Amino acid sequence: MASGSHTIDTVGGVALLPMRAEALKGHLDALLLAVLEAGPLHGYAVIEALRAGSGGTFDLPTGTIYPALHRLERAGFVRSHWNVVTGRRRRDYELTTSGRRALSSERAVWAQFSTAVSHLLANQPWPTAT
Amino acid sequence: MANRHLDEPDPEPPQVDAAVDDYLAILAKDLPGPPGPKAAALEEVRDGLNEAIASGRTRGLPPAVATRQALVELGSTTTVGEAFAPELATAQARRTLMAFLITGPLVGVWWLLLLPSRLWPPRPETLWSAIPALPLLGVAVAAAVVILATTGSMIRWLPESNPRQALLGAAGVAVGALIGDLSVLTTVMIRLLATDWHPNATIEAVAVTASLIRVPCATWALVRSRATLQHLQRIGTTLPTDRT
Repeated sequence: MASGSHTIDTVGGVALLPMRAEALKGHLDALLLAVLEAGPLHGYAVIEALRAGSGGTFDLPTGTIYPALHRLERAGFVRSHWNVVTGRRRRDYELTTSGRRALSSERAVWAQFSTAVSHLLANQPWPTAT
Repeated sequence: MANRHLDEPDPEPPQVDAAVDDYLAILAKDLPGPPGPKAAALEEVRDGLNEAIASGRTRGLPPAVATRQALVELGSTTTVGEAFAPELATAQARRTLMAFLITGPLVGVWWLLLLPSRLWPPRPETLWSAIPALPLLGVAVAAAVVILATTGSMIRWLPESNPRQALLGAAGVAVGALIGDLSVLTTVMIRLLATDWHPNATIEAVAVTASLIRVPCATWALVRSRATLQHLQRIGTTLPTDRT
């Protein structure tokens, strides 16, 4: 999101700055699949959904989202079709069955990864099976 | 404009359209790849920009400010061009490979009918002696299939070929087609001039014409692949399509 249109949030006095593209490397595919889960969206609506869903945390040049969507389409995770809206052609994206499966898998991997990182960063011992 | 919704912002003033047009004109110069996917990418970016500007106008921003903000949010033409380059390069490689895979049998079948005409169906050794480039063409076909598989929907299961590898593969297949075409054309010339060979004139005409058409096409594909490879080199794209 344009930095000018958001205030900087703080948690415990620590400023939460918008995340740069580098921080999202490897996660954008899953985020895009997640925002398309509810139904078909055009490119700009996907961008808006990413912003809204992250509270403006993800600071990506929006022009980089389109190629990422195209790659997901090439992989068969989303399909796109062109519509004409108010005289302009618009490309809508929707999740395929493979995309839904990939999203479920990404969620499981992320849950495991984030739990492990959270425990390590908080210096907490990993919960042992009882 | 009587039936325009009250919430809709006014139509964009000419300077807004000019700013968007200028941005897209610069971006178009930064994009490699085939015209179709390139035009589709630009159209999609234009739609996104128009949406972003309309969103800014709805929030009460003046047209010029809404446009400036939309362009800043979109990213510089360099950033956006670099983001699109791997996908467009991959699209170019896939199109080139598909073109050769489709036209290959259409051209090849006439040469198979023409050159080893004494025996039908010809034995492999007869084919190889009549068309020496046949093993090379076999390798080219195999490479094309592998690259198409590792740049298409199979990337869900297979390691993905990066755009540079895909383009190198496409260039290699174009070279293979060139060598194949030039070798069979040379063979025909030698046979016609040095022996009393009397091939079927229709088959000969179709085969020679097909190869004469494909030679400049393969050369063009080679030139375009090289240009896009150089573009990727300039922007430093070596990884598979950026997984930002």
